[in-house]
Amino acid sequence: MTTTACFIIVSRNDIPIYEAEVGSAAKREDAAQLPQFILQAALDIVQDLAWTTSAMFLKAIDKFNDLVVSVYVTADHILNISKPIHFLHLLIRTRFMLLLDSRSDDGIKSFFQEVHELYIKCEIVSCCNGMTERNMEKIELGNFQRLKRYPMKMNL
Amino acid sequence: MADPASTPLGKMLLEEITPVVMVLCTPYVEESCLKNGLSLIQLLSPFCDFTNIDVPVRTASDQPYRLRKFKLRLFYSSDIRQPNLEVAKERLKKVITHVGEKNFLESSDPSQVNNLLSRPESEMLPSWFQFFNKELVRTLSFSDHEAFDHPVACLLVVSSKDDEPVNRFVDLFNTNKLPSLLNDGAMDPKIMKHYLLLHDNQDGPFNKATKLLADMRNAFGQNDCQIICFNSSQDGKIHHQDNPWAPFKSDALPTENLGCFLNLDDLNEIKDFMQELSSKHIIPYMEQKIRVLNQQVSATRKGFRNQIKNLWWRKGKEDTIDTPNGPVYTFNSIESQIRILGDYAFMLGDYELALSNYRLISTDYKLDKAWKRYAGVQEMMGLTYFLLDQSRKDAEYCMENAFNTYLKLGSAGRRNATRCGLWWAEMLKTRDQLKEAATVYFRICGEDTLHSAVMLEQASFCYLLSKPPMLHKYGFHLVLSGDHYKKCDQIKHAIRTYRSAIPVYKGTTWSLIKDHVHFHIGQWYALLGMYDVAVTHMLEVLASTHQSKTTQELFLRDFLQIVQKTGKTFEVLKLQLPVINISSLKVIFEDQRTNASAAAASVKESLWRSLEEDMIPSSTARSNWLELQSKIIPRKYKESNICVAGEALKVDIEFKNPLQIRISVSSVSLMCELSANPEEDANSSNNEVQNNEDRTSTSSGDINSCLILSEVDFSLEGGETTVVQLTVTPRIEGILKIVGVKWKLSSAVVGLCNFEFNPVNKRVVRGRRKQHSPSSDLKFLVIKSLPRLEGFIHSLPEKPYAGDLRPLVLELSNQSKFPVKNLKMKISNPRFLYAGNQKELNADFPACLKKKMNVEKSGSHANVNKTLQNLFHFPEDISVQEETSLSWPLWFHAAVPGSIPLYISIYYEMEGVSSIMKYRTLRMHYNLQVLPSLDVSFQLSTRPSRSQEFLLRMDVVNKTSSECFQVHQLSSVGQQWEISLLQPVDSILPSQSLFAGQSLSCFFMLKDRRRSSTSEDSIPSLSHIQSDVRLGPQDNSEAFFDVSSSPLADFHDCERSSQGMSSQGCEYKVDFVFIAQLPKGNRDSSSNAPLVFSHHACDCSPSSMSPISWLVDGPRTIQHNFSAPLCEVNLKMTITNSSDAIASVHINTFDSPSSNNQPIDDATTSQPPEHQSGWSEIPIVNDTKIITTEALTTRVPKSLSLESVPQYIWSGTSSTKLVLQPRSTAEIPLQICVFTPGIYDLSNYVLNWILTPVNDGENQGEANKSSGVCKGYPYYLSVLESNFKD
Repeated sequence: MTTTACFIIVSRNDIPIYEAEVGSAAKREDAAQLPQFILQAALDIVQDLAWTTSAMFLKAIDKFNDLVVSVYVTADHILNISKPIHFLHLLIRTRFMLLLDSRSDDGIKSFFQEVHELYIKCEIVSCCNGMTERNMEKIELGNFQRLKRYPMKMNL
Repeated sequence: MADPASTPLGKMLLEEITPVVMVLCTPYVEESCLKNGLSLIQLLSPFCDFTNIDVPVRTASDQPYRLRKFKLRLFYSSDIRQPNLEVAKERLKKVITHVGEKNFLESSDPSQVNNLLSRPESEMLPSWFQFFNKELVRTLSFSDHEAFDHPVACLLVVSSKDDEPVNRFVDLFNTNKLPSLLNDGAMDPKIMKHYLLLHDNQDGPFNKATKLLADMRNAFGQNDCQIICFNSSQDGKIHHQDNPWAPFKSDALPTENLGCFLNLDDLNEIKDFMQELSSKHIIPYMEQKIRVLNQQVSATRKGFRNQIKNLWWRKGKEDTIDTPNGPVYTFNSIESQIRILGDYAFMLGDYELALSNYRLISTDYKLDKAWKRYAGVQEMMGLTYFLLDQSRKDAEYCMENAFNTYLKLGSAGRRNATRCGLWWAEMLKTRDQLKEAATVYFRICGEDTLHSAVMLEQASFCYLLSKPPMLHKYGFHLVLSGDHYKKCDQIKHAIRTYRSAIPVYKGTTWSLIKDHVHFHIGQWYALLGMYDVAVTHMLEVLASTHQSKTTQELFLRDFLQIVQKTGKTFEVLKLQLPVINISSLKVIFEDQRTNASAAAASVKESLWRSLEEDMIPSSTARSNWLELQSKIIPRKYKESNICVAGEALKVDIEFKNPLQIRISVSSVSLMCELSANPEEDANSSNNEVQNNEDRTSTSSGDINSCLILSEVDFSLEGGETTVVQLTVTPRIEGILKIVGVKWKLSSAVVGLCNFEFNPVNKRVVRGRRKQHSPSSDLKFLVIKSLPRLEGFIHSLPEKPYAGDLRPLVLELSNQSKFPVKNLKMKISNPRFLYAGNQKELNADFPACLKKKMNVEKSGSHANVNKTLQNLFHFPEDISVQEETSLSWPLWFHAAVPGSIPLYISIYYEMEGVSSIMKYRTLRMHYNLQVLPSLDVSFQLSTRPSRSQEFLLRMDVVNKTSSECFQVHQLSSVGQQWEISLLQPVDSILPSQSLFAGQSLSCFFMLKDRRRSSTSEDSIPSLSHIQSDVRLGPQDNSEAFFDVSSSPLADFHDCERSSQGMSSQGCEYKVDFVFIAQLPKGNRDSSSNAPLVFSHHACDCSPSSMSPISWLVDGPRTIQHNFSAPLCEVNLKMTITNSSDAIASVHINTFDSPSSNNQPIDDATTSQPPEHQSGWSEIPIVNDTKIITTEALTTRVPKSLSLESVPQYIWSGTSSTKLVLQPRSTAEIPLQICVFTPGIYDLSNYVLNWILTPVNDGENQGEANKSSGVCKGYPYYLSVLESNFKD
């Protein structure tokens, strides 16, 4: 079964900092922008939902035709940061968004949790290397290339 | 919530779900009406809407209530049928197209999201949605499953002109002509009839009509007949101020005077008629019918018994009819009657009654699986709930249920679902559930793309209006809607929606989205032929680096196509293709400092300044010059740079192609402005202001233009970066300002880049002493044309071998009309290059170096000081005249291997030409790559027996990879030493040629002439002193090279000074010059003369004052087949103790060369550090040697290989100790193992010796005890690979 999947990490100011086409379906040249459109539009829903729940994994929050958007929100409403701590600012309210044409909440959830761990590692490493926030947003998260193999693991 | 009836949906329902009156009329009636430009229905329509009718109504309950609002819908009988689908679609399309045209012209897009949101809601939401929705709903009128569109009454109209009006009335209601609804039994054909006689006052007197009315009343009853007289105005010039018909005749021309024959009385008559028709006939009729139906329903369906019966009966019926539309119900079936009851109650505003009947019938339809009817009833239930404003949940549930049921029906229910969805969405919108409303709109989208587009657009506005606004959703749905519009060829709508989405996506980093939006807008504008706007949008996507290669190609191709279609060349200020790296901008200009080549320009200014320090006028002079300048140059331009008319300014700019595809860039040129110096020659005739626009058009071809600009064409592969040098040459004096750069992309679009945009990082190479404002860095004061020398060194070898000695010619040419004089030259590195004498210019090389027999050696060191100072004054009488050139000899000697930068600065003065500039300097820069050639080392040891005689051992290794040198001579410098060969070279080197990789060791005897002359046995006289030894063939009569005259002597002095040794030293110090030759034409095909190589060794002193001397003896060349693992070589060391004491000698061998503390001789060590500013001497290449086979062939860092793998291993003992008696000799065997072929330097050993005086007494013993350490001297062993087995 071919799957279409698009994974995007969105920083807290709505900037996509990582993007990966992880589906096994052939990429359509004319609809390359569609996942971005769907996921960006879903940000509006996330914005509403994130305040209503303390869960990080928001399950399927939005859908467009057959494509389902699953979102994982990193700590923001959970961590109450009164003082701006440099790297924590980078970690909070980051949204991992996955666009899939099939649903399997458990697989997606574990995928997100793994990505979250990886993301924290990446961020902290680059913070320790003295990255500025500006650079951070552009940083190519080399480790994240590993993600490409995850959809197979998700038993989708 | 306020009154549901006053909400948009409520208003809509009160307008749309009202009693229908079927109108039947004769052609004469229409004819009369058309005099006013109106049909009968149009004429009557304005008077059908009663906002305050105030009629008491009593329906099922006994309690009457007052009806305020009431409306009748009039239809011709021919129109009472389901509209043709195609026609309806066509009409809707027309509506949309019309709106598209209108909005496209009016649209003004807000550029900011905030602006978008700040507008009032009514303004944000396009009004045509309402209209469209109404039209869409109307396409579903007169369906058979709903009763509210079924005519309640029939209005029959006959004109008084008709013959026998009474018969006409009967004919009109002919069943053949009646709508199918009445005929096929869907509704009761026995409907209320009302008869109207229309009298046109223009046709005749009124009394005829009254008679007819009387006839009618007799025939059809007293109450049901009425008469209207109209067209009372005779001249038809009545103009109605607020035309009541305008809304009902949309296609009316503005000039048309509607109702021109109707005076006020006519209008009042019509109004009264309609009011009476409604209140006295239709409403009472409906009341009556409701009551009747209600009774019937109560009798058959209400009550427990009836319910049970009904259930039972329905169950039994279950397996009978199951058509796709469910069972067919005729008008007299109880189901239809309940529905009619419900609809009538709804229309009369008795929602409670309506609801109860809808509920009742809904279960029946459900049981009957009459899904369409069921959905219709559910829909009505939802609306009734809404109007009752009771249970919101129920209302929504009903609407959703109806919607889903319609959808389940497939295409048959699709349009009904659309209508239901529209009402549902309206309902949600009324309750501020905009997000849900948007979802409903989204669900309405179906097969009809055009309708979907409108629905999506409505959905997008729901998102925009929701609180907080969901802008991303808004944008997304606009884009979706635009795509749908595009599919239906509604390009204007598509562009409008996309453009509305731009503010949402402005500045977004979701790059694909942004590209998609701009690209499609651009494409669509191009389709409309609006190429200018199209180009501006296409520009946004040009530099999309993140897109795939094919997409980039598509973008660029489409862009160029559109530009082509515009038929003109666009000038784009911020063209992103290619990207210009402003920070890379480098301006190279020449004021008094001129450069011979681009290489010279790239050298740091500080380096030149330190070189020229003592050549150019001193600091006091400079301050004078500055003062002078400040007087002459206008104050305003004092800080600007100076350049000379006729001389090119060069600007280096970096262009980068951000895409993966190839782009071609042409006509890259600078944009410059040249204006006359305002203060200098205000009244000058030629102070025209040169504008950049006309400059580029005339560019380089025009000789008379004041600026010459270079144009460059290039193409960039994907991701490529290139640095382009552009030049501008001002031809007249004035102020030159470099404004920016312009280029042509694919010879279609002109890109402009203004340098002023980002002036922060700009870097001007010839930075002045002061801090400038960035803008002034690009501003130049152009002064009058000045002489400018051009310099060139002819045939300077780029990669000479070390030791290369040759004459060169420096050519200085003066192209201007003024002579220059007072020339001075400074060379950074006199070890490599120095100026010769003019008479040497045409001397025969190498013969001029050879000893002349009859010339006395006077003044050989005359120019020592000159060369050491590096500064060379050309003779005073030398000047370079106009348009001539001067050649001057230079001597070149490649002193040490490595990468050697040579800096030459030539100073010259010109007189009377310019008051601003008195002198100029010409800077030349060359980079030499000196390759290692011969490696010469000397070792001097005293002869144990004679202290004034020394044994000189010379080791020469050819380190080149291919060259074959001829050894020529060895000379000692000065006349103190006499040198002679110990054995003829022929015996060692029969060919006299040193092939690549070969080594040579020679032994010489060196005699101190001063010593020997004083000693008792000295015989030789002065004339026989041999300070030179020929190494070539002994019978050769060729003269020796004269090492005591220029240039050899000069270079030797340089070597001495650079090797850090003073001329005066201890008496035993000897300097040697070894000279070899490279046969003719061997290396440089251009020159036929043999190359001369001189190698200088300074201050060789007898290495050992030590009493221990030794000699390693063994084979020099070995052939070995390395298929056998290793090669053992046996050596012998002969140690001699020349002292009178007992020596104990300890020989230590090392395997690793690194432990031997020998610095590695690498070519890179000779390079001056990059960051070093100011002038510095080249560090001396260390004279210690490591000989490896790869020394020349590869330039890999040798330290690694040396440290990791020893070249050879000492085998046998690693440490030997022995005691030598005074004046005795001992032999020690040594052995090494070699693993690969090559040349090995077996110097990795150390001799430690301790001398103990022989039995001289106890007290002296310890004091005289001396010791020392001797390092091994080079012993070269060549190991060759042999192919045969030995």
